[in-house]
Amino acid sequence: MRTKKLGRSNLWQYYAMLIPGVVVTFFFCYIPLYGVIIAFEDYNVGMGFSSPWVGLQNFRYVFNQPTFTRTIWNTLYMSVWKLALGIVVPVTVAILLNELRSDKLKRFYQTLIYIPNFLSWIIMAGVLMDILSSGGAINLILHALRLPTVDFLGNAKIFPWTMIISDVWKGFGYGTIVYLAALTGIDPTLYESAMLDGASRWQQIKNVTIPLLMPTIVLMTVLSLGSILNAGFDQVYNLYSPAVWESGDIIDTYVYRLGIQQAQYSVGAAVGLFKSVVSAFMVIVSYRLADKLAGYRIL
Amino acid sequence: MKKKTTAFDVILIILLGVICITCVLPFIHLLAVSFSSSSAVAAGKVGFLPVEFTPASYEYVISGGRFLHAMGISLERVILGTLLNIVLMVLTAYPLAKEDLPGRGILSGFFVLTMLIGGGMIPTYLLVSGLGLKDTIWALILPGALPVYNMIILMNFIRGLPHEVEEAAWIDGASPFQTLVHVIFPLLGPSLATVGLFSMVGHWNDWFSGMIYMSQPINYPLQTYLQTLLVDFEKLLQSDSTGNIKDILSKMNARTGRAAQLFLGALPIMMVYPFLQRYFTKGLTLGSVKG
Amino acid sequence: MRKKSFRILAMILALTAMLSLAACGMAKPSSATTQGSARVEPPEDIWAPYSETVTITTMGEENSGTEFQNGDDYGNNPWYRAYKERFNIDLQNKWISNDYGTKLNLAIADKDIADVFYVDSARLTTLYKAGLIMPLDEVFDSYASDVLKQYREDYADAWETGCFDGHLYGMPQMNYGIIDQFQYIWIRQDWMKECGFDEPKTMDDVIEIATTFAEKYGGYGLAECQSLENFYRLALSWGAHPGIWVEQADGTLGYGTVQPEMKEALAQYTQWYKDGIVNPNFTTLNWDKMMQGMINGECGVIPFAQWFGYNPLPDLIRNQGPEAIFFPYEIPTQDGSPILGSVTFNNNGYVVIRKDCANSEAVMKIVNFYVYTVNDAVGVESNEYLSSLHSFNYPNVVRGTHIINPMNDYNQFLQVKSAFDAYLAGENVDTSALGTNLSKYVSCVNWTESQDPNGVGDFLQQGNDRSAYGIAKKYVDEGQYVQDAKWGPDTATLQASGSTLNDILIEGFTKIIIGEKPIDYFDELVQQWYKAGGEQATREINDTYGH
Repeated sequence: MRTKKLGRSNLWQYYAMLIPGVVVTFFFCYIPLYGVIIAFEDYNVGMGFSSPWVGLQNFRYVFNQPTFTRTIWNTLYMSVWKLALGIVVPVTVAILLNELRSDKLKRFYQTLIYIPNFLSWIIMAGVLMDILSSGGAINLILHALRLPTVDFLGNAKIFPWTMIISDVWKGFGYGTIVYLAALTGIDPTLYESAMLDGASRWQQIKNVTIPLLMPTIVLMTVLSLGSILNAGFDQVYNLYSPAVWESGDIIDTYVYRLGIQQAQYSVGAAVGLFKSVVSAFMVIVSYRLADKLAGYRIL
Repeated sequence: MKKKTTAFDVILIILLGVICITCVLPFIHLLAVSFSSSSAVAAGKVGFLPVEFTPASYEYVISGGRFLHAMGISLERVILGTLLNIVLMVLTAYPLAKEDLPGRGILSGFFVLTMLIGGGMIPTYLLVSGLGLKDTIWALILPGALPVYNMIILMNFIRGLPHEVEEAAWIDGASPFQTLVHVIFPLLGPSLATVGLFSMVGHWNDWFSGMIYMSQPINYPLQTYLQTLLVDFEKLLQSDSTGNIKDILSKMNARTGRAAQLFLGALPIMMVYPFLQRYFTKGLTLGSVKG
Repeated sequence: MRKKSFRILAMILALTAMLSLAACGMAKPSSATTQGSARVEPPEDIWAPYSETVTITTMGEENSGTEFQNGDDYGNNPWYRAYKERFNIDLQNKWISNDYGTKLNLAIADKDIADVFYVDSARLTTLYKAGLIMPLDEVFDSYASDVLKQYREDYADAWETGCFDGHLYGMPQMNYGIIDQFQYIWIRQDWMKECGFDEPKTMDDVIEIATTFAEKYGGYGLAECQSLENFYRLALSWGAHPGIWVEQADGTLGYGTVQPEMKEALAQYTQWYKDGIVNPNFTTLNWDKMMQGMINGECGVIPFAQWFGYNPLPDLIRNQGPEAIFFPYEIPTQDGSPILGSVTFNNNGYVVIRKDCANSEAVMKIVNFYVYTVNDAVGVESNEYLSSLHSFNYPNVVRGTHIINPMNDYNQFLQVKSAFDAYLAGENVDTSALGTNLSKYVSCVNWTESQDPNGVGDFLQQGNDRSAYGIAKKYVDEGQYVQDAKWGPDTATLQASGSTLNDILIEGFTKIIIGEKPIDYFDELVQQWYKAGGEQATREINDTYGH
């Protein structure tokens, strides 16, 4: 990466710019942090944050639940794939969109792919259940093609992949926009000189577009590693069923069924803290790796 | 720079077109659902065209006059909230983009940490309540005044800018503030459109903070208001033995109502989107200005 | 360039200032809701008004689909006006929310609660421990109406659950009565007639009907969804009582879902699934999707509760025609003995009063008034007046302050049925005695005269002897039910485990039914259940509710 020099004087002005952000963040993100202590308490809303101290009991309680371990594996399986495809697909689509000759068409497509982001999972789940059911559109097509039909939502082996693919499909518009924005920053003269060198379109993508997208890709990857233990509560909760809990029950759905709606804030906070620690670890490691191996300092 | 259209371009248009169609179909389906009778929806008969066309769900959602009022509050929140977000994001992202700023690592960590851990709903509520912000629009705006995720994306965009312009400004004796306002800010068009869009959509769609910080339903922003319209059948059944359930059910069911709610809720923000898009592609010309 | 940027900045600033001024225009709660009001001496007569206006605050649940008449809202409606006119009490809403539980938790955490509101049993304990609510013994003794005191005597066990150390802290709101808790087999009438079936007397009859329907009309025999709720209903036939706590052979209390009768029921149900009688796709169907199948005429037999006529039947009739009406039948037992239903402790919540409430007797007046409108007021006040309080969604306005008569639905059924019987016999019906039950009667008539799908729910719930309540009345009168041994709130382990204990069983049962596991896996499941907390829960239940 290029290094940039600061302006010669007035260094204080940079810090002055940071003041509003630091103040707001300190107030609304750091002050409430004392709330994490309820993970170590038997929290009772009436007594507030001086509820009885129970140490690690909430953690022990959750981890001793007979089916909690499988939810960790299920969560990791789904979220790692969602994360990987959640990078590859938007990058690919962004590059392809960028290759479109017509600006109008490009803009039009770009509008359309963002649409699923406006639909909440509770709505989308209803639609998916129709499409993926045994008599739904996709199975009718498979049947017409003389292919075996698939139990997308009821087969424990297939269910995680139904989640992964539908999630990537629903969310790729968001990533695509970010990458497209990054692409608009690319200096067109780079392509011109590549063309003068006789590079084919594929070579231009490989030698100009992808390297210039790389910082953004690494950034998005590291940021999304922060949610490695979120496999998508809204999606899974609205689509799973006891028949696929084996492979489809994730940490958040399990904790929800454990009774978060009955105001069991302590257990929720304990699980939240566990997830925070894991994601902080993942972010720090990936940040270091990106820096050491590829020389990307994203933060 | 005119090139001739190849097979590759045709395949590209078709491939992307197919992908786009899969994105739009559910939306069209829901539009059809929202205009269909509840019995047709309950029977799963609705595909991409309304069955037994009725605007009942829309009438239900709009009736009572609270709809426009709630929309007004939402608009106010979106404008105020997005402006504040953008100002804070730019002010924070610009210094953090300076790699040789002393203490930058610690400052970045300070912000990134908040993405990984939070104190939960109750302490935040107590803080907002203690500051006397309940029942004011600031309760909806201030806690999320600096969206860190988007700020970091913006910071990376800033780093990607050609920094010769900045250097030129310094040589002219511009201070960092002047450089930010006169040089950097004008170059951020497409990036700000991107993170601004995310901010807008976030403010627009957030219903939860309206629910917890507003004590009077008349102060609800649109999405919070729409959320209250979802018919929770179990709840109704439990609380009501006087036979009114059927009046509600005959008008709409949960699915038609939700679909109508979705469209009325999403339409304004979707109309803004194409306008923002002009900026997305503008970046191309901006980049070549200096060339 | 310099000028332009400044202009943009100035514009942003001006806009921000303008909007923040506009933001001040938001409605604030009135000052009375933020600070308590001073004590006003109450009049001697509990039905008399105060000499000075007393302000009482409350927090309420907003009910989706709420419909108000001409300009009314949660803060101004016939109930609130009645309090003002009759007692000089000004009831004000601190807030109204459709996520009552969350808002209430926040209010409690903020120590900012209203004078009167309702809570569930877990929060009742919380508030009591935190010392935020007052003991009600004194105010109840001095100011509760006679009818309310009678409730307390008649349902002493329920009122006991609102007590700590012998003092009453929460008045149980009760429910509309056990008559609404029974289960039936609903069968489609046009198909039944076409095939020439009579009322099923045994489970084999039911299966024969189901199989014949599936052969003749396509689809499947028995409807089911992923929660296995219909299987749980049918298990009553084997004398199993899933979901409630029962007395076991050795006299101790045990969980109904892990009893040996469940294994028998499960074995048979598994066979039915294998034979293709139970909907083969049930594992992926949620409730809506199961009912979608019913509405589309895929199935003519479904075990279900009394409210099948409200949902999905109206939609079913709109799609399949009025002849497609379903009727409820008793679930036949395996040995031909009378069926025993399961009855649970059903309490909607507890009315509590804030510790520092200056005029707690005003709350009692409000509660008394509700009790009055559903009992003594019938015949005293006009039908129009009573229905202005009890129709549309006005009953939801008093969600936090009402105490329901647990005989409500039972008495309602008697009234509606006798009026409807008279109508069927062609006699003159005196509707003035029906009070708030008028709308149910009108619905039954509407269904009979014009097949109005909106009336079919009331018709099948209470319209005649063949209605659900017609069957359930016999169960109530003859004591044909097993009462949940857990006659009160959940114990600690049950509260802490949410639905996860039941989930172990549902997941395992599903595997057995679809043939992934053999029937003997049931025993293994029961052990898993005990280990995961069931054992602890059983011990607690025996300690709390055992003899």
